[in-house]
Amino acid sequence: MGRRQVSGDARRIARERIEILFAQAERFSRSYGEGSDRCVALARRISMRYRVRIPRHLRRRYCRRCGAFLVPGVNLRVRIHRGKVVATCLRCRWQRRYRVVRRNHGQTHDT
Amino acid sequence: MITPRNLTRHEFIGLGVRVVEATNPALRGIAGTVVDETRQMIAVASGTRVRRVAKVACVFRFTLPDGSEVEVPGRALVAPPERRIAREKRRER
Repeated sequence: MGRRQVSGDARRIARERIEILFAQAERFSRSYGEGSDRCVALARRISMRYRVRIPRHLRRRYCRRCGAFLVPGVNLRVRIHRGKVVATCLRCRWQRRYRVVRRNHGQTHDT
Repeated sequence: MITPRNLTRHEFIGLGVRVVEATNPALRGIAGTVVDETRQMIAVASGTRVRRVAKVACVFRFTLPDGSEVEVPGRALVAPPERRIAREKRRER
């Protein structure tokens, strides 16, 4: 069984839609929080169906376990612990640890 | 970029819409911003409420980010949002 072919055009649109959905999630986060989580769910579905990666800066904006759109200081706690960044989702307490990468060495940590 | 050509395959959330035609006359004229989409419905934030409108029963006029307006029969949009990207067959009518 080979991989299902996805046209380049479809994947391009998928990428654009993911960007739009996260931008909208950001806007909803101020007024209509469930809307943000809904945007995350839609973006993840698109990314899985068309095998498009969610860019790193956006991948760190949602909780992998409960699907919440994460806003630092509101439902996301970011702490440094033993040389790692520990990001805790305050809704489900899920923790994600990131290695701290040297500055100007590829992409640095964001959020 | 959302263009009139790829609108039916692109993201609706955040776009402006107006229901220009509907089998239910009470829905005609609903206008606002799209806040959610499911297989059959589009949720429009209109004034202080969020109104859910069935896609099949309406003709929509979308306002694209560049300001242009496109009219689309709702029938062509009946599919889960993530499925609209790659549609093998154009479903008009």
